[in-house]
Amino acid sequence: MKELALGIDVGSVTTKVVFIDENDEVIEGLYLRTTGSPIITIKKGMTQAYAYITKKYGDVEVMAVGTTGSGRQLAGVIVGADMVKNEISAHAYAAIREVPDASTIFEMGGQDSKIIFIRNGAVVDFAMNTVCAAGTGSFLDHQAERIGVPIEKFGEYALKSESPVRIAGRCTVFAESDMIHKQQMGATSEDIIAGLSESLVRNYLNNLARGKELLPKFVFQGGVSENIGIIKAFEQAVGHEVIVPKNNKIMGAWGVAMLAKREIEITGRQTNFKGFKITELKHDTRVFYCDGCANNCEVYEVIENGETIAYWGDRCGRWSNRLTSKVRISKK
Amino acid sequence: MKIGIPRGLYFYVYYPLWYGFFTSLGHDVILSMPTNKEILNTGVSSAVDDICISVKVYHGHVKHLLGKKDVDHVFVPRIVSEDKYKYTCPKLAAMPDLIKSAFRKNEKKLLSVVMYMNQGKKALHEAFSEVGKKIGENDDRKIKKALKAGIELQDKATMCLRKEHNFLEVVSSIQNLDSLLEKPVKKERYTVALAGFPYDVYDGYMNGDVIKRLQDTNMRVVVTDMLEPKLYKHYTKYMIKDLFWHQANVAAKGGMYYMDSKDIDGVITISSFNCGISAVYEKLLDLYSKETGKPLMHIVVDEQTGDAGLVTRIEAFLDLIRVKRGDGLVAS
Repeated sequence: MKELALGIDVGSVTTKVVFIDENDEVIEGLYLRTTGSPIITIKKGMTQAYAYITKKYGDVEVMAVGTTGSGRQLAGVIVGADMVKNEISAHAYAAIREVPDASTIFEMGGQDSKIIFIRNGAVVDFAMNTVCAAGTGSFLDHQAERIGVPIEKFGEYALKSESPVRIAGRCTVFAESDMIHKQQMGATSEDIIAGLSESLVRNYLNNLARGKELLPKFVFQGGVSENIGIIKAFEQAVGHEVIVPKNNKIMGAWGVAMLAKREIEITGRQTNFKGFKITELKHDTRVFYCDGCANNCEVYEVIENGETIAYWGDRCGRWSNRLTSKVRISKK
Repeated sequence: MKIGIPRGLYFYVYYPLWYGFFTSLGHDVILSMPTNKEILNTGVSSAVDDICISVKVYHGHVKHLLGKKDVDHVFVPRIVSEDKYKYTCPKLAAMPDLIKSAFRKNEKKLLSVVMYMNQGKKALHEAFSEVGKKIGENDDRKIKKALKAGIELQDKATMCLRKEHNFLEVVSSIQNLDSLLEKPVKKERYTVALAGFPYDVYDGYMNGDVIKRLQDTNMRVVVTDMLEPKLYKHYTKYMIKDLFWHQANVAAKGGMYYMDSKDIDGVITISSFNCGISAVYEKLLDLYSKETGKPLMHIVVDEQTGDAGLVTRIEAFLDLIRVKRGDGLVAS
């Protein structure tokens, strides 16, 4: 029986499901838009992946499961994770495996963008956008819709541009009015898209790198790294080649799958994985306002087949401490 | 009489002094409840628009106390300076005026006085005599005695801080500081230092419970106010000259001292979003971190701060520290 490890990265816009084999190689990686609830997307991804790998390898055994991304906690209780890891560490782990002498990692996802600084194979510093979505995939998505060019073609268009127009990248709202203005002045879609790509990179570097030392090798990953226009804009901005690793879109899920595998190997524990049967279980979530004190915390409840399996969101632990014996969330 | 003390700003520095003074005169001290959503909301709606969240929260605490029928006075001192030629933020020095203009109806309940903390006992005596007169205490002997009690308590609190008990512990055992002094501090494998103004560092609701989060993952937490100023005096040289603001000096030089300490694994600064003073010490610490290679992270809070990004960054920072110490990302 083939032994596999599973990694799930639940992001704000997309969900990634990855299965890796005994050599840590990705044998199946799915990149799905999180439509509706992330739970449905996770299950859909698992069903699809399961069908594919059983067809190819026959019976399989999942020996470790890791979750990451902003929905890592939710994914963790649904599938029964051995490791719930923040996306910065997961992304860095996969990037270092792929490019061992990487020094700077650019990661652009749906609503998050991060920069991670690596020295001698270890993370030494990082930064993450906090409140502003300018400089993320959502921003590009939104503008693509405006211009009427499918996001997949964005890169192609950008490359065709001969003289990119300058567009304010500070803020989505300003960028948009800038763009409309340039359109009305007669700039072509190509030049505008190239200008947008440049402004996105400029904004990213201004916001996150903030005068920190950018050393090669540069690795660029996350959904936006599919966009050749942005890659070129990055290369221009840093004046150096920018490597887009294989599995660039699923690095977080890949990283956490490997980490979960290490965890199980080192501790010798049994996996918490609940099995592929979870795709058939009924999961509900519920939000309510706790009336225990003036904080009125938003408490989230996850219900599996009518039984509550997790609470979170309460500051004091009034709810989340109720189920400690049942909920297995790694504190790390 | 019942004297209300708002749980904000300089409460996190001089509470023992105030507590000692008022209780020694035979009055009861009523604290506003720890910051919660209600306090934050009332603070935001009653304060002027473009001021830092710490001051807004303070407004909330004052309002909370003003709303209590049994509180006779709310103590809102104007603290101008804390050290020779070192002042407090201009907004804090204007506190009584801001509060008066925000809560005109309750002006009479406000008990305010100008305080220079650096000009010796005589100046303090004058200030506290004024406070005494306002609450009907004209007996100078009693004032002197009460001030002495206050100073004694403040000194004892300082001793507790030097022993690495944080200010929150001081507040909760204010009636029994002697036993706190005896209490040993738990040693942990990792130690994280927090640099920042006490009212940003210790207000858990505002900063996403950083202290508790760190302690929950078995980190020892030290804060710059625990340091004897003598220890970090020499860092003035690195800064070319001292900053104008006392608390910024403590954060900057204390942070540098911690960066040079072998037993500190990383430094986290905590500041509020539109604090110009914090921007100065943060940059100084950035530069020093580059020289020493000690991990540094900035947490900037405002009223919109969501938990998700904050938790991710704290977790990633702790991962970074673990790896730096040679412990792995897994099974630790």
